[in-house]
Amino acid sequence: MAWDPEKYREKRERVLGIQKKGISFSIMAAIVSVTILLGLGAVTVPNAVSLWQTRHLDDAIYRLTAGYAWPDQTLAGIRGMSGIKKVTKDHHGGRLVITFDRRRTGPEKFDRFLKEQGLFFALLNRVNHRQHQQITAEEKEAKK
Amino acid sequence: MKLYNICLGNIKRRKTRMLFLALGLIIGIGTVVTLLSITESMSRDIEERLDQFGANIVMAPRMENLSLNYGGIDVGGVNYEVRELDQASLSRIHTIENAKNLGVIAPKILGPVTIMDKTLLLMGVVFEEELALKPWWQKTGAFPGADNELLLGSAAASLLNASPGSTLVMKEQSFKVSGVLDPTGGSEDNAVIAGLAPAQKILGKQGKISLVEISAFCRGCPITELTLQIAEKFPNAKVTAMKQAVMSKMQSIELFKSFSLGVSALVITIGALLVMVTMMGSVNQRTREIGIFRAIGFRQGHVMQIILLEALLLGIFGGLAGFVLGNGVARIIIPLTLEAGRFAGINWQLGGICLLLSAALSLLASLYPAFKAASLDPNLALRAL
Amino acid sequence: MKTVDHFIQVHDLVKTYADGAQLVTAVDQVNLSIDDGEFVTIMGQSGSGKSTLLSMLGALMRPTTGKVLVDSMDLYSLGKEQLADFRSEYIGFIFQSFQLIPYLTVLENVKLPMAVTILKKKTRQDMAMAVIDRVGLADKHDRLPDQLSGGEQERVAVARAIVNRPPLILADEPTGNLDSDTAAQIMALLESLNRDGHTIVVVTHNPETEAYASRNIRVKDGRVAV
Repeated sequence: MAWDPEKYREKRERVLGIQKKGISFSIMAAIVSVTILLGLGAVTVPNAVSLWQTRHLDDAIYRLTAGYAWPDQTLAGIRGMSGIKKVTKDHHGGRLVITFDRRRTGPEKFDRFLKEQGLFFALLNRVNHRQHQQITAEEKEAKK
Repeated sequence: MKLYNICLGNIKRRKTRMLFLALGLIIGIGTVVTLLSITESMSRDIEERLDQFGANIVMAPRMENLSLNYGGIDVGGVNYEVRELDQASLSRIHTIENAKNLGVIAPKILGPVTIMDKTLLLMGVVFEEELALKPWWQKTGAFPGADNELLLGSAAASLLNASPGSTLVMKEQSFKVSGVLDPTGGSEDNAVIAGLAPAQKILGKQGKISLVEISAFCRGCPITELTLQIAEKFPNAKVTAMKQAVMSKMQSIELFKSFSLGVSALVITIGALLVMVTMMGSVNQRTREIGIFRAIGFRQGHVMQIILLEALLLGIFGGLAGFVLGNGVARIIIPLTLEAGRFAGINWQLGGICLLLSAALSLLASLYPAFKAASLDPNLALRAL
Repeated sequence: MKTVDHFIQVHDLVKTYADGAQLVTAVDQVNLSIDDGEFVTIMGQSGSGKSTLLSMLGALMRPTTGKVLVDSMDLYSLGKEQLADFRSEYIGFIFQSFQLIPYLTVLENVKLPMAVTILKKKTRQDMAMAVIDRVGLADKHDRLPDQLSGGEQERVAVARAIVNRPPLILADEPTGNLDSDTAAQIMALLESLNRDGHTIVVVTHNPETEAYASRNIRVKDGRVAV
């Protein structure tokens, strides 16, 4: 039987035709999975890292009982002490918040330093740094 | 007939194999869910305490050394000076910026007292304020109405063998027991509670206050701010928000939570590796099948799809089963390991995340086996007997 | 100069592979042609290279050198995906044994080749049931393979091979595991498919099957005997 080239033209064209197929299923699957995992990681990891990094930090809050404002050199002096993470003014400049590593230093040292500076002050509170941040943020939210 | 029908057919008729494949994921997800359930339970416990004490601020004289008893006051039997606050100076409290947020102000005097040769804690309170502060005080009998009446804590009452109507003598004065408190789990259980003035007199501390409990008026008040403002007015005092004290427990819970997540991540990774290994084994077992697929004209991409679809279904199944298992285990474990632990309920959001996580891991873990399957030489596959 | 005037043309086909340290020639310079609608058997002892030859006709195995042209397409100049598509469109394979998917029913097995096409669900169902009926297993369409006899399984394989209406049916020892009665049934079935218009190539070592074919090709030591 001779062979008629036209008989299977459609089939031949289907085989030889270039197949479209955008992004293959496997590549889609890979992309989606990696995205999900990265997303989850981005949500959980930074929190854990920050927790780990701040676990030794406390905040000591001081207030001047005489005088108007904390002198800049006092701030600089405290910043120079070991174990100090951050020193900021709070509440219209009236309060001083010292963030420190409780393993290395503490309010006793600050008290001594401030006394040496000839300042009159009171330690208002001492609280865990992270909690202080969280509670302050929460209360700011509630105030809105 | 589509490719997913092939997967469904496989799963329907080879259930135990599917279960085994998913086992790693189920255990991993179950671990996450159980651990997070536990931390959730612990947080709930804290939050309830917060609600109970929440708005309380405690003011006590600044001490060099502290030992825990009632809000930081060491009482009796120790050789250093116990300082007190001046009752008259209390009025300064109302001069703070946020004075309108102040609710109840309940001052107390504390000291040791001897009754019937036993030494007990005497608490002098302003009953009106104290009761407003502690609505959970339940009693038998009645609250004191006169200066010569007393309230006893549950443990103190059993120690003195006293009940409503009994008479007790302190410093040669007679007092009538008007009521006995139900156990609260707090310091008052061990205390003899009298009016502020009579107690001050008995302790010889007229005009003095050992500590003040303050409650703020509103929900979501700026407690830290209030605390600091009060502290400014009383430089000799230590002012602490109860929230702070309770919250320090929060920190350990948070650390535990981070630790749990770390452990879970590890377990899940192992689970995913298990999926990869088992899937690889499955592919090896199915070389004949794969050969047939290729022989009848499936492309490599199609073969990969089949394996990955299976992995996806497996992932979804693993996520669901793990979620159910995790909650079940938590429900049993929590009352056993945490005191007053209650299962916090099913977190559906977590369920959704578990599903996604499980599916994602299953897919990723099966990419390599799928690739291997698709690359099989059909001839070798078919000759494999 | 080379014109294509046969449905299947094989030019100087060679297949060698390494067996340990030795180089084995399975197919040695084979030339042959098969026309549309022929029923051909390829006979030879085991190890004669007949199965290898069949694999290369069916685009399952790449030759070492040489050409295979089917419907004027040079198979091994096509890409991997095109070869897969070729098998899907043109070839129906029938093997000796273990060729059904054990966790799919008869109907699902038959529908398998259509899983990668774009036919409508109803069309697939109709086509599948039609061929199942053709091979005489309509009443067993929802059985699993292990609930069928050897002959019945082979018939399912035949049904699956023809469901996509491929022009070419390649069978590798289809009756090898069957008793003579059942074998005869299968061969008769193939014969009727040939009458329907399919081109059939059967590899076998059983001389009795030769009677069904219009042409017999002998293979020995990788070569086509004249």
